[in-house]
Amino acid sequence: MIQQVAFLVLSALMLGAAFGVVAARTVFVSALWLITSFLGVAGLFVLLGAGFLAMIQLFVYVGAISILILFVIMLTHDVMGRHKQRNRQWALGAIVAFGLFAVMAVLGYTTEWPVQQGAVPPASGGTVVLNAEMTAADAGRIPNVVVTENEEGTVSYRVPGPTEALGRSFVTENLLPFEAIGALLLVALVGAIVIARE
Amino acid sequence: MTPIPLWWYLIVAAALFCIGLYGTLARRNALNVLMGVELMLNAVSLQTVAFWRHTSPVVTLDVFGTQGQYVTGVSGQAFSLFIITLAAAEAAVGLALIIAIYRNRGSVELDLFDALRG
Repeated sequence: MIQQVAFLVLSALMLGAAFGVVAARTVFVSALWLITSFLGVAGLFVLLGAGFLAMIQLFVYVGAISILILFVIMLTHDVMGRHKQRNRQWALGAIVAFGLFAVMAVLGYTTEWPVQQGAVPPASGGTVVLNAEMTAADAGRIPNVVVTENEEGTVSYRVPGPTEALGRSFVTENLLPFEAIGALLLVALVGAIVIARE
Repeated sequence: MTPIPLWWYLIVAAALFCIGLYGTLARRNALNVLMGVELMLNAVSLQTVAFWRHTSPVVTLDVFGTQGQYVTGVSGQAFSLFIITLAAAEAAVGLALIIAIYRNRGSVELDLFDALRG
């Protein structure tokens, strides 16, 4: 119940702020609404059990990208200047956006998603329960599982909490994408400096 | 187990995406267009995490002595993190381009940029 209320409040905040972004009269006010919208998304990440992502959302979007946008507004604009904000095709754009929303909402509601009823493990993780369906060999193949053996030779399979599992996945199964995205970020930032320099 | 059904998240993310799409299509200011793109990336990121939470495989775990079904993979979260990184790179390059264009043309209003029109 309380989660559903939190979901509705956060969604209303996020969508209302997003409307503010596209409807504000000045670019500066748009940027402030954008920060609010990012905060709403961070709250929904918490609700989904992705606490680490919520923190990253705060650091990267609220802390870095929004500030970057505000700086560029101040570099390029008379900050509170009221210009014509919409172009000639805005009505067509609204129709396209609303049509796409209708299609996506109907599809999202009517499709039978293969939903699994599971909770997110706590930060300390949990131990795999071995039985006929989950043999030791299967447990060893669970992504990011930590295999430990005590003095008596009993092997236990621990599944770490989401944040630890994410960290482990970046040095195991997601190593190549992780390195690639790092290289991409470096190249993009060097490129940004080259483009923006006089 | 999951008090909030998946389709709630899907509809909210779809709404956020479409608001961002409208912002991208309808605004004259290059900065506003970039903000619309950021909103769309956020929507996709939210949807990815929602799918991770609701459809990834579950395993029976013993947590503090109680058994229950738990989500074990993190691929959806990793994907979402990559989207956030891409968005940061995109914002940096996009804003650098806006500054460069502003230096050349003295404006950031997109319908004034028609140098490539045939």
